[in-house]
This record gives sequence, C-alpha cells and structure tokens, in this order.
Amino acid sequence: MNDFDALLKRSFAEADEPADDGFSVQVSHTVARREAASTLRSRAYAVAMGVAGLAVFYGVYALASALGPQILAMAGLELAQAHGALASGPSETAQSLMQSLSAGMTQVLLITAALAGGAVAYRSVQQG
Amino acid sequence: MATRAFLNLADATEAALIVAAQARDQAAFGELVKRRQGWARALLRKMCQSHAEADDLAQEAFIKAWDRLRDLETPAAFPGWFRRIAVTTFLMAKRRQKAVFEEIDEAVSPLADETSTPEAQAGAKIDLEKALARLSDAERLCVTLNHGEGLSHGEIVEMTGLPLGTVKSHVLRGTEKLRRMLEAA
Repeated sequence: MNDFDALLKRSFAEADEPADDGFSVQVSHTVARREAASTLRSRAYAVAMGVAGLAVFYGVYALASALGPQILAMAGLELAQAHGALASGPSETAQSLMQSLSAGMTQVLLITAALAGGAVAYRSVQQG
Repeated sequence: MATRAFLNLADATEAALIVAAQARDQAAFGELVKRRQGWARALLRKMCQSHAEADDLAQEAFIKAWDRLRDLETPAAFPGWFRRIAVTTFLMAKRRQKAVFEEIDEAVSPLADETSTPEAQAGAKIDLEKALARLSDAERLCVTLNHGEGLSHGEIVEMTGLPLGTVKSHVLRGTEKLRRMLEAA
C-alpha cells in the first residue's frame, strides 16, 4: 500500500458522520405507520375471508336444502338396485354374453399363438 | 414484544436490539437506527452526490432492513448485511434514474478550495465527499466500498453484480482520479 492509499483509507476512516437531526425519529415514524397499515390490512383481510366463508356456507346450505332430498333419494335408489343385482344370479343375457366372449377369446388365442410360432420359425430360418 | 419488558434500550447491546427488533419491537429498531444512522448515512453520502438523496436512500434502506430483519441469521452479521441492503438500494435508485455508470468528464479539476486548508496542505486528510463527487457513480461506489469499507474486489463483485474486471478498473481509475485531483491542487 502506497502513501496515497493510506491517506485515502485514513480519510475514509476519519470522515465525519452526520448527527441525528431527526432522521431516526423519521424512520421510526415511517416504520410505525407501515406496521399500523399492515395490521389494518391483515384485519380487513380476515374480516373479508370470514364474510366470504359465510357466503359460501350459506350458498351451499341453500343448495343442499333444495337438492338434498332428491340426491339422497337417487342415491338410495342406486344402492337398492346394486344390492338387488348382487343378490340375484346373473341373467340369461349376461350368461350368453360371457359364453360368446369365452369362445371368441379361444379363437383369438389360437390365432395369436399360430402367428407367434410362425414368426419364430421364420426368424430361425433366416438366421440359420 | 416479550423481549421488550426485559430490555433497557439505552444500555442494550446492538445484538440485543437486533434480536428484539427481529421480534418486531419497533422501539428496539428505533434505537438501532439511532445508533447506526450516522454510519449508514455517511456511507450513502459517499456514494451519492447529494446529502438529501443519500438520506432518502438511507431511510429506504432502514425500512427494507425492518421488513427483512427476520432473514438476518446472526446479529453479528448486521453491518455487512445492512451494507448490502444500502448498496442494493443505491444501485436500484441509480437504475431508476438510468444514470448508473455514466462516465463524467474525464478532465479532473483540482480541489482548489478544500485543499487550500492548512490541514489538507499538510497532507493529513482530504475533503473526501467533494473529491468523490467528481467521480462517476460506478467509480464512487467501487472506491467507497474498496477503500472506505475495506471490501475486496471479489466482495464488491458479489455485492454489486458488476464483472470483476469492471470493478478493478473502476477502483483503479477512481483512485487515480483522486490522486490527480490532489496533485493538481
């Protein structure tokens, strides 16, 4: 470090600091104002959220009052139908459908196996 | 506010004030501002060309510090942490003014008035603010952080986001300009 750098550092170190001419009070007042505004905002937000929650609750309650019995009746009906279907055996239509599917599935499996066997034989011929 | 009841502000250490302020104690933060305002305003006055602008930026920096005080991990880190906020506030203000890093006239005039004082003539001290005012914004910032705050070039790069070469150049040129001002006087 040369003389000038030393002089510069000393000048920085010895530079006067401004006296508190109301600066800190001004900052404190600004902080207090901001905090008050922030508190007010958060309270207003809480009130708004409460009102919105009540409105939603009232809307759902009104809707449930009007449609609730219908929905419950429909649900009960569906439940009864499902219970009946499980309690009784399969219908004739269902039985014939299952038989057709089984027969068709057998054909499909046979064709698939034949195609796969053919492909394997072809590959082995090509490689040999 | 639980910390407030046990804290005598006038006698409290800076660390205690910071901890209380982190708990949103406005009075503790007020005391902290009172103790640190001289340093903060002096730092910004070296960076800015006008005292009014520097004081406005210092106030802005303290408000930001209040908002972000919970991010401060240890009270001991407060000076460096606040310095970073002050520098960022200064850079943002300059960007708003679109004036940052504009070069001023390269012709450096001598500090005739201030160096004619017996103290300056004796080489004891220079009128720093007036000399710094003759530098560009970027030079003033880099010289202040390097010579005034004792930051390395790398730390200035990290703080300002400027490239290392630019920081070195600003420090070198700023220091050289200050030297020429004094020699010409």
